[in-house]
Amino acid sequence: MKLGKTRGALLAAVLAALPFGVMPAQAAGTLTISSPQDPGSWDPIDTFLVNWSSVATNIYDGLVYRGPDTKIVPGLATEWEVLDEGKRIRFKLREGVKFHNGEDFNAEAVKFTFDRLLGEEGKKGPQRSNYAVIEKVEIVDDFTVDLVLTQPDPVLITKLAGYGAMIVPPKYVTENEEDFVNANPVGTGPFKMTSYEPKVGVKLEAFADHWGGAPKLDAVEYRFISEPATAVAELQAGRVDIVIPPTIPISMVPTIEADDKLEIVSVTSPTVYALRFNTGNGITADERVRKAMIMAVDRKAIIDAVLGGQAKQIASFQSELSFGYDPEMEPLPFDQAKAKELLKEAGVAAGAPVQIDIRGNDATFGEVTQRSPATCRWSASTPPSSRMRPMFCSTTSSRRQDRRDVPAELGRLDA
Amino acid sequence: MASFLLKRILQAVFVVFVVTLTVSFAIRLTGDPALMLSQGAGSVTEEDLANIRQALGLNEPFIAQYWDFIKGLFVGDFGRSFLGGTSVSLLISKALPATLALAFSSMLVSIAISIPLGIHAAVNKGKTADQVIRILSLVGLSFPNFWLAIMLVLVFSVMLQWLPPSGMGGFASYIMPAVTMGVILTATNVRLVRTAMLETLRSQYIQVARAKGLSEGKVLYKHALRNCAIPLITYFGLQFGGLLGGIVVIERVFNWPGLGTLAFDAVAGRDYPVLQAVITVLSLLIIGVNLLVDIAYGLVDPRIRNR
Repeated sequence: MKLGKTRGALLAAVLAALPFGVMPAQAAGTLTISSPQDPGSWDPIDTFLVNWSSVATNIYDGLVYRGPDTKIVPGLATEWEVLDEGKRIRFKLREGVKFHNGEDFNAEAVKFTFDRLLGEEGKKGPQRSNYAVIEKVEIVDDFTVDLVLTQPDPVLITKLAGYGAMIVPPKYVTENEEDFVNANPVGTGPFKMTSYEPKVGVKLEAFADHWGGAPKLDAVEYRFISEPATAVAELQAGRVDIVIPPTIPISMVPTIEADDKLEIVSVTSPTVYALRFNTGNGITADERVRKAMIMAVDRKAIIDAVLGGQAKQIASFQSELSFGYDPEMEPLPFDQAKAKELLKEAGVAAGAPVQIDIRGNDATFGEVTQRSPATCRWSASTPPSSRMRPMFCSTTSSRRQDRRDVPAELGRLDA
Repeated sequence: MASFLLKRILQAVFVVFVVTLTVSFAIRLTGDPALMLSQGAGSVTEEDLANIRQALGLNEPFIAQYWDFIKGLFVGDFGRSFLGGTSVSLLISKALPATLALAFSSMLVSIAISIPLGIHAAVNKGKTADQVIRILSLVGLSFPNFWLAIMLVLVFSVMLQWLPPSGMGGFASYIMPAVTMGVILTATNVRLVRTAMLETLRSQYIQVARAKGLSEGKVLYKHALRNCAIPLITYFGLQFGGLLGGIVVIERVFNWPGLGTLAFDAVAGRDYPVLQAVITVLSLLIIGVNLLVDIAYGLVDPRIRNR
């Protein structure tokens, strides 16, 4: 069942008085944003949280930049070429760039960043695995570096746009205590952090010397608010300008729509919610059973009734914004008769039990699993009867052993 | 007195031991922080996970991890948060004052409402005022506190825009959370004050005070209230513990940066060290307050001391 959840759960609820589109080119002032989680550390190699990224993208730059249209454009590297049949990527670096603390950005900083990420320090965090394909970094000259890879990796360039690949200042990181660096990030990005209060919020101030030009805002303030109702109340009270996902559950959309001061801005995102089957064991090892389970679910009904129409059906794990998307592929139709037929062919009796693990605790999941049990349980006779097993996302892991035997899990993919 | 104290302290140590052991054990049943941390990563290998577990100290047997935690307790070192490596002591040192400030404000609100109302009800026993107050306190008892919180936010932040809907800041930011918690406490406290007052008002010294020709206000607040203060203070003290439990929900609704918020995030993020620390601090607080109450009682009443 591929429920393309794609208009990324209300990417933003914005004050109508200041929609992005009509913002004057030099809108000075402070933008206040509600973010659901404090990542605890701002060091790029320490976390893997989207909410780290939404703040830290403003503080750090990567070699490349991936903007709202998801296209890769030059960042700290102005150009790059792929050599050695994909096993070496040569980057020309931007000259004259400075870190917020005055340190120079150069090939040394790039090498330091990746050596740290792939070395002993990176081992302690979750970021290293994402870049394990990088064997080493070779400095060609002050503003040219080569990433030498163990094997070609087509998505590496995309990964260089964020997270662990954000470039850090070598001197600053070496000379200061780890705790200090974690709480006082320094990068080359358009904003510098001026204060961080754990569990409360962070304040960013425009970095006028940014290589891309001075930011249009003077300052940005992020407040950590995890409870959706509270975040919406702050929005309604006019104390917060934007609430970023995944805070707002779809059930709160009508509340926001009803308030004429607020606006929901929906953007198609590459986030995919899908039922992933165990293709190795159990009845789901049979392709016909998997097809039957997909065809037995009225995905359009879920999108319309539960997700407020804020999603699209997709055929694979790829949305139209994701790498590897194939526009030729059509989602399987909703066809219960055909589903029954397939099950019969596969020799699976109607009512055979299927256990579905639900991973993740984001708001949209909550909606799908809580509000559509009828749909998820499939309609009466057709398909195997399912047992939903919701859990916070890491629960499955402690049961790694029996995970092989779980026929399906409902999961989220951010591509 | 010394043996009484010693006994109570030993009991307290035992309780903290059992509570922390249970919590440390239980949270470890709920999932793997290493996998939680790598949630967004595309290609995590067993080796990567093993490295992270090693760095977090999760490769050690449970007893060894627990022992490390206990050793840390004695030197005031709660370890580091799994999420970002912040020192847990630092997190606690910021969250504890926030929680205490909210707890005390809530008690203040409750005392400020329940004492006059309770006295008024006692004086007018059986009359309309008494009935109304008793019904109100029943209504207060039946409120789910988060619902009251959301309604307050709706009225005072969203509609009237008088008060900030969340966060900890100036005086204004304390009003709604403290009133929410305070109202819930008040429901019980009013009844308590009323009962204590009724008993006191029947005493002979009150009749004497009245016979002396003292004004009713002086009789009530100077003589009666002082005499029923001891059971009331005891009860308010014990209530403090329950208050700390209820504060988790309220802190979340009002995004209050206290121990409750810390605990909530720690559970969601499988942040063992933070959760262990918060639970330890909360249980120490509750035990500490109860101990103080016991001691106060013991001082007042020798019979308790020897029990």
